Amino acid sequence: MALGGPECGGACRTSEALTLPTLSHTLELTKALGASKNIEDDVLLATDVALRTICEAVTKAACARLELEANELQAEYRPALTPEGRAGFEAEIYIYDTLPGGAGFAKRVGEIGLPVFEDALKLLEKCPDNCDRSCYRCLRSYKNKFEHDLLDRHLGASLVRFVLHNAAPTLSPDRVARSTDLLFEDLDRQDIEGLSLERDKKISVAGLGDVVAPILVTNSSGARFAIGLHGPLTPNEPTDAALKDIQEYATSLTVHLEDELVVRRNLPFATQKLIEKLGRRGEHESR
Amino acid sequence: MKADSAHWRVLTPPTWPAPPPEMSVSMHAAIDECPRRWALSAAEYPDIWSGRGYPPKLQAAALAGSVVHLALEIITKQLTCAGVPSLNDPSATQVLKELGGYTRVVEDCVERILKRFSDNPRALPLMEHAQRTLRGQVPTLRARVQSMLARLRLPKGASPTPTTSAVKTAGPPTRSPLANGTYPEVEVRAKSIGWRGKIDLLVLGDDACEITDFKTGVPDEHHKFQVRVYALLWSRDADVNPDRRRADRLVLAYEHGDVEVEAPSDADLDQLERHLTAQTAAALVSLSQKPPEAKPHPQQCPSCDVRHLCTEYWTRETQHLMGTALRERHIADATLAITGAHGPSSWDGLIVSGAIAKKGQRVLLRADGRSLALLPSQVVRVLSAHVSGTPEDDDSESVLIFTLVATSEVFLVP
Repeated sequence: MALGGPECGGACRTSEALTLPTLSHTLELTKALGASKNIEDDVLLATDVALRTICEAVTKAACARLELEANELQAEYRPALTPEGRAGFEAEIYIYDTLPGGAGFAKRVGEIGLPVFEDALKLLEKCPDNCDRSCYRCLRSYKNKFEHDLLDRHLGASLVRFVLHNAAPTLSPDRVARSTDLLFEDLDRQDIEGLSLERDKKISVAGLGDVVAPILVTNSSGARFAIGLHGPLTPNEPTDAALKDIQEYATSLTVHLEDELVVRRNLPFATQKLIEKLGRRGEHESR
Repeated sequence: MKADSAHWRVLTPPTWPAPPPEMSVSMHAAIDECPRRWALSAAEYPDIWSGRGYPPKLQAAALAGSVVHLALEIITKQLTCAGVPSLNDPSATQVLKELGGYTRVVEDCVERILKRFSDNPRALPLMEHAQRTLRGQVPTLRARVQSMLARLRLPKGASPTPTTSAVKTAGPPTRSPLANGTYPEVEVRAKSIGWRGKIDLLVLGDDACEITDFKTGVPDEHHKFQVRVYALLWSRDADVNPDRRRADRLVLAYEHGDVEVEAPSDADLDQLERHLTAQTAAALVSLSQKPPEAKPHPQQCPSCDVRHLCTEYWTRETQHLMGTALRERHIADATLAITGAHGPSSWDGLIVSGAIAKKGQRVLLRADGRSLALLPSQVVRVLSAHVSGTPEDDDSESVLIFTLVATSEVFLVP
């Protein structure tokens, strides 16, 4: 991972900028997983959450290393000033001193380099309260109060782990199960005529054998839909590996994947979107 | 974008095109809607490019439907070539595995669809945007393809496509009689009325003759007319259907469900044939004028690909007609007279014609991020610019700001 400091000229004299062009790996990641992720398109939410979270973690880790007050440094992100950045595939995280004129702390962080990210990863992985997304024991503070909704330590950690260790982003089975339950219950609550829903239904798919569909939807004409979740950073990759084969090869049913992050943050939207995908919009709205 | 490039000038076609030798549903609809538009689009422009007609504008949103359609075409071709009897058969899954899976097929289709625009000078500035948009939609497009395919039904009695059939993936298409089987992308022609069409999926069984048309957009009554025309063309095509078999089931396969269209009887087919003959005659008459008649319409003109070439569109009367709809959208067209440079990538100008404001209205044209070079006294036609500010009749100082967005275009008026 290369670290470097771009010439900022006179435009940012008050902030010694450190650009960390690390997120180009996002492109490699999504290509490797068969996805095509774009930080400018409708997957912006996951990107926003992951990068905002990493910014906070890096700032906190850097301040701890340099024994500074938490408000001496700040980090932000932006599309990288590269062709890949312009295409929406590469982002930069930069750290700056909050003191007008600069205090030299950001430059010092650049000299430390990689260990700051390793510290940030530890912060993200180990919350004293083992919180669900973020809390005042790990990432939240009064300073970042407007960003609390964007802080998700699990999502941030999965991206840093990938950048540092090339580990594909995954979600814990517990989290996936809870989110799937949420979606199933909300869908069930809609009581849509002509749709039957089953949770963790074992189905037999021609040529692929038996597979457990996290949510199986059957409509009145017998068409079947297997509903699963995908990780926020991997839009075409089911969290349940068993779904991958029927997603790619099944000809007798359709696999729809919903973003786990959207299910947790905006369940009505996720449910509505799914209902539309199932082709039930008209019937549902007319009831 | 270079203003001195031939492509970015407003041109008049060297010659107006001859009427088409054969009519299709889409071509007839285009001519019926506006003969001038069809003629401007179909004319040859050797100074711009070597392709046929005027270079079409690249519309990223519309390409998604093309990708889904092409993916379905590829998969159904492979399924029929492999003799898959039913989509519930394990052999169907095997075909998908050999193709590399839906995602792979969709990604390949994205590349193939974009490649169609590779020599289109008008599409070049938008290629990167379109590529990014479509690649970002691959997961959604995959699900759309899988959903439409899963609803496909191969009736009993429809044996696998015979190897001697008209279905071939390479070489010139053979037009020989079709035996029972499943045939994707079948070209049908009715020489008696001079119409042709392409059926997405034709299934011939002992007791079945079904025509399916894949539709990636929203349901439209015109689609029913289209599939009925296919039924007529199939029944009148002496090459592939010498027995004059009549289609007994017509299906419009939309993303969220199939719509069955009543199959026409013999009497219905005769009536439709007479109707098409009359429509063809009317279309040919409208194209015999030089230039063909223009039919300005507030719903059609804003999306017309060649409106910058259409003299009728830029008249005061037509622009007045466009006025109401354009004001609400804040996306507008205008002819501007450039009066001078305002900044490195912005120019001052006056409106010459446009629906958004009166002639003489002051304008600031902003082209951030584009290598546009304009000179004072040049006149340009700006298409689909974002307009901010409000024209004030009694305020000579008011300025409308025209900002070029990704889909905006600028053409120099000679």
